[in-house]
Amino acid sequence: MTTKAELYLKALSDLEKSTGDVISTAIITHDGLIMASTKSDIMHRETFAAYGAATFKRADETIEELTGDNIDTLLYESKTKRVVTVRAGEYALLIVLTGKNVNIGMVLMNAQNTALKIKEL
Amino acid sequence: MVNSSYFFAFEETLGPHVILSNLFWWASLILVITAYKNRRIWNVGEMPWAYLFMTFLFFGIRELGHLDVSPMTGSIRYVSGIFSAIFMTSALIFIYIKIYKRKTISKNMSFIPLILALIFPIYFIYLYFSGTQTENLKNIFFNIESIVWIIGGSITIYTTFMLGTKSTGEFVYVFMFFQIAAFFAILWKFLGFIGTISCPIPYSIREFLETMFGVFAIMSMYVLEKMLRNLSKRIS
Repeated sequence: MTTKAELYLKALSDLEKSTGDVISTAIITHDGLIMASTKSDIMHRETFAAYGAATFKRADETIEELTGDNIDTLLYESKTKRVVTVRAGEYALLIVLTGKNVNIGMVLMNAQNTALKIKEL
Repeated sequence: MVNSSYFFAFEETLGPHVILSNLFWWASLILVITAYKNRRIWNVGEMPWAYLFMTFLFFGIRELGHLDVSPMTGSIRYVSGIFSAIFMTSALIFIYIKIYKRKTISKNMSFIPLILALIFPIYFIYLYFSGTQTENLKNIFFNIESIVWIIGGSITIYTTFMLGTKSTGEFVYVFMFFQIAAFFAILWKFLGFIGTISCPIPYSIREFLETMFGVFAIMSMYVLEKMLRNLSKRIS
């Protein structure tokens, strides 16, 4: 029998295949716990999840304060890397860490589609 | 008329504090074990989990020691308390290094707390066989335990504070409750320590602080265990 964790992992794997230059992806809870993640040599999984959730929470509080809405997608980037975080249902967040050699529109679209898939699982 | 010996009594064998404290610490140990089953979800390494387990195990043993008031048992209780302080501090230092400092804990480094903890039973054996009276032995280890808890608690306050700044959701509560537990541990041991120097503190006050230490320790473990258990159910 396939577990939810395996289905999550498949969704992440599909996302990585359909989007180039993805370094790491993870589905995490709002507490910063990992539900599923792909391997990354550049960072500890727990750190990736904890910081990703904390950043999303701060951004959510900021947008709520400014607009009264909740955040759905968060994008931030450095000179060489980019992070996209998308809300995937009530409990989960999808985090995608990519390089800069990929079209941002493609990353956002694929991440949002994957978030929808995760929500339905 | 209030019986002053109740407030200033040096030891309690079986009373509300002993019952509650044993209940809290042994229940916490069960929570650590059940949380450990879901360690893959919060994989901070094997050693922090092992040290968390030993923290609660040794403090549970320490609290069981209340049932016997002999000086020898008292000394062994304090050695267990020293173990518990070292392991709690170490577990949170390792989580801090991993999550906050983003560094890997080397194998050699992960055994430092064990080596540090081993010093105390060796010292205990040395003192015992060098003819130190058991009552003196008990007083020596009471003071050592106080100092170790004060230092360990201070470090725990720092590590949990820093971890709290990088946390979100229920993890904030996990670290906050650990921090409050550390505050109570420091206060409890500080009052005990100054009591041995010059100013006896009513034992009932220290008992209350120690019980509160247990309350917050079990609360932090309960939140952690609940978080891991809920997520485990959700992804299975």
